[in-house]
Amino acid sequence: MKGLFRYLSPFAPDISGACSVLFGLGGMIVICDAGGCTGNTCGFDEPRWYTQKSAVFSAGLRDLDAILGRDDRLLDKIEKALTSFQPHFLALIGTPAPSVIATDYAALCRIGEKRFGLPCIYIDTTGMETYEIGQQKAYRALRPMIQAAPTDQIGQWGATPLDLPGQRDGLCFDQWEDWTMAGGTKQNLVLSPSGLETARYLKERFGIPYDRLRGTCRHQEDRRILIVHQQIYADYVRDCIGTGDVASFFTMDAEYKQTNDIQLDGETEWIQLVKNGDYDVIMGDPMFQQAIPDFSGTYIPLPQFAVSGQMHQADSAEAYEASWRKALWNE
Amino acid sequence: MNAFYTTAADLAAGKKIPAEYDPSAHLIYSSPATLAYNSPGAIGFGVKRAALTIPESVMLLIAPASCGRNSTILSAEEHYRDRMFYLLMNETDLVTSRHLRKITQAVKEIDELCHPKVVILCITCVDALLATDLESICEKTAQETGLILVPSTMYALEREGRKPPMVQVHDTVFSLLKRKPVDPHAVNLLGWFSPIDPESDLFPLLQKAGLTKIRQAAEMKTLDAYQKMGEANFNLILDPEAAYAGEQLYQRLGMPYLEIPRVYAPDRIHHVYQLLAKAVGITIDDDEWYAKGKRKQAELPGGRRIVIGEMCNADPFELAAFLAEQGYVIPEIFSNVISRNLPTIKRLAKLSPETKVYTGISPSMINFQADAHPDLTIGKDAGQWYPNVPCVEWNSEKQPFGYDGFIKLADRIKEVSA
Repeated sequence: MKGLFRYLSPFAPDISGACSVLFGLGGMIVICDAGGCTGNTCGFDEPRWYTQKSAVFSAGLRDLDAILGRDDRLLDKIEKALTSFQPHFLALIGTPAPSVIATDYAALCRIGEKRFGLPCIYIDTTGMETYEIGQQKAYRALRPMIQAAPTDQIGQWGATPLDLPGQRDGLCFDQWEDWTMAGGTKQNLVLSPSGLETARYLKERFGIPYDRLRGTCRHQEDRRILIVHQQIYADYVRDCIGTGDVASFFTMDAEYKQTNDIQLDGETEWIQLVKNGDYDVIMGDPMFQQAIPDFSGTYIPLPQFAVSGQMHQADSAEAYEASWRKALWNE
Repeated sequence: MNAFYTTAADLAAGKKIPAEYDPSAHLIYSSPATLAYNSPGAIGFGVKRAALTIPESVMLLIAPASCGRNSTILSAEEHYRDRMFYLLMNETDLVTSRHLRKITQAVKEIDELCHPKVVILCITCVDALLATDLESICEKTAQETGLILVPSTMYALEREGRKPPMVQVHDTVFSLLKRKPVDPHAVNLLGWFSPIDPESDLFPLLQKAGLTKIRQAAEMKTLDAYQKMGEANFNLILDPEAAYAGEQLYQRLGMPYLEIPRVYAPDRIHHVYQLLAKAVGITIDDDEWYAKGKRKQAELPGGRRIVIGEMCNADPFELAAFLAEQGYVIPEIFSNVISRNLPTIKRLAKLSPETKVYTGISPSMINFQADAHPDLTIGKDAGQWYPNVPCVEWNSEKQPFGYDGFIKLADRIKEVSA
């Protein structure tokens, strides 16, 4: 049945995606929830939260706030919290409860800007979509902050811990200063599908060319291989292998999709794909393996934080890549 | 603005608890030290794992993905992954309530897969706001599947209400219990979702007093064994979170209950046992344990500075008051304050009026300066505020109780301070 997860568990939701983009920017991030969404986002989807101080808050929404639409209380709470520090901006992050009562985030931001004298943005996440949707919305909401200070660094979009393991050098737009140069880069590199929309926007507005992360193939591979990850990293792995099909539970972009690539809609589709695909090798998060106990080929772990969180994380991007290369080719 | 705190003396003297201690009155600061508040399941038991205390049960969480995300990791780490299923909602479900019509079919598919005896249906904030009638869905699904269906809720929106989620789930766990012929030798222990340390003196003392059948839900491996809890003479409530469930069992099944607190001072433990004995009409002969506790108490040197948090198997104020009585200096406590804490805070204030009581979830904690120079911290959160100081986390799932709990805590304090 669509929507039923018997073997798999929920992936990082859009709320986590939005927060992953905003996390290091020095803003005041207010998740409009009762507390649970904030706990899930910070505690399970944001590894930086354990090592870096950041201003993530739960709105502490209660039943009567939701029933009576007491948005004024939220603004009062924000005003009080703002006496403790001075953020670059205020970001309101949506969750399921405000989506039920149709909270008017745009109006709250307009009032907030006037009342607090701060740039206010909102990300109308619902907790019902996957993380990359929240990332896209966050990138979109941050566009007004883009400046065009020239830089020699390459812009890297869609490079959060939910997408790829390890820290990356260069301009990842995970610091406030990066956004002052977003329009001034000479080249943009897209590391996950959530970064594509912004890369295209920057090409249109500033003429900055972009490409996706690409790999080089040095192997002859005859096995039938399926790679399951976020689309851009899966494409990169396919480049390195020189062959393979790509599947993803997350958004796939038509520009990079090849004939046999498939966007998965749920675990039933995943089980069917493996059953009918006749693959020799599957590379994917260890969690996906739970749903295909009958698969008799080789399963190579290719973990993604947005799927299994910290459970299978490598220490660095290099260690991560070395691990799947070793499993595939014994390199 | 500095991190907000109130001294024990001011809290003891004040007529009203400052709003800063009320989580619904301000934004809630999110730091690793507050994870247990924002995501109760992160440390120990949240609603999902707690409800699965019902033996031979599985849970179907009907919710947006964001409500179940922590279970992706926790259920694997805490070995209940095979008992969790998810019916994920989308926006169309929200508008049309289509998800509710899928539940029966989902339960059938789960039944085909693992044949559970009990299926717990759990809904969250969105269905609370939609006023979903989960009881009738359970009834209909039970009729169609022949399984036992248990409604359960995880309404974070009601955290400071009459039935916060963790209070409600205690009631859920006992909702299947039926009254059996009363066995005067049987008693149920209510309080936590994990068992009490089997080495606790509570067991031999109750047994010696004639209460030979001591049961805890967490130890019941089968539904039949769980149902035997229905023969208890009375329920003994060891943590206030379970008091509502105790009251419901009294209302529904006529099972009487008694509430006793978990305390750490040997004199107080002795007092609690004697009060219990008097209330039940039994004799609790704890002289030997009491003497053991007093001997251990004499070994605690005092003098050192201890910061205490709320993420531990103790009431932080009770523990602070006891340790202050013991000659320790308590510069800081991290805890919310509710009216139930005030008598203990008054006790603490007499000995340590300058103790600063911070609430970890206050937005002002973004400016917290760790400058109390403790020699030791107790509680996982206190350890996170002072990461370079030796910490007795004291939050294992095996619940300490009685003299044995105190003796083990004292040993840990000595060990970590050494």
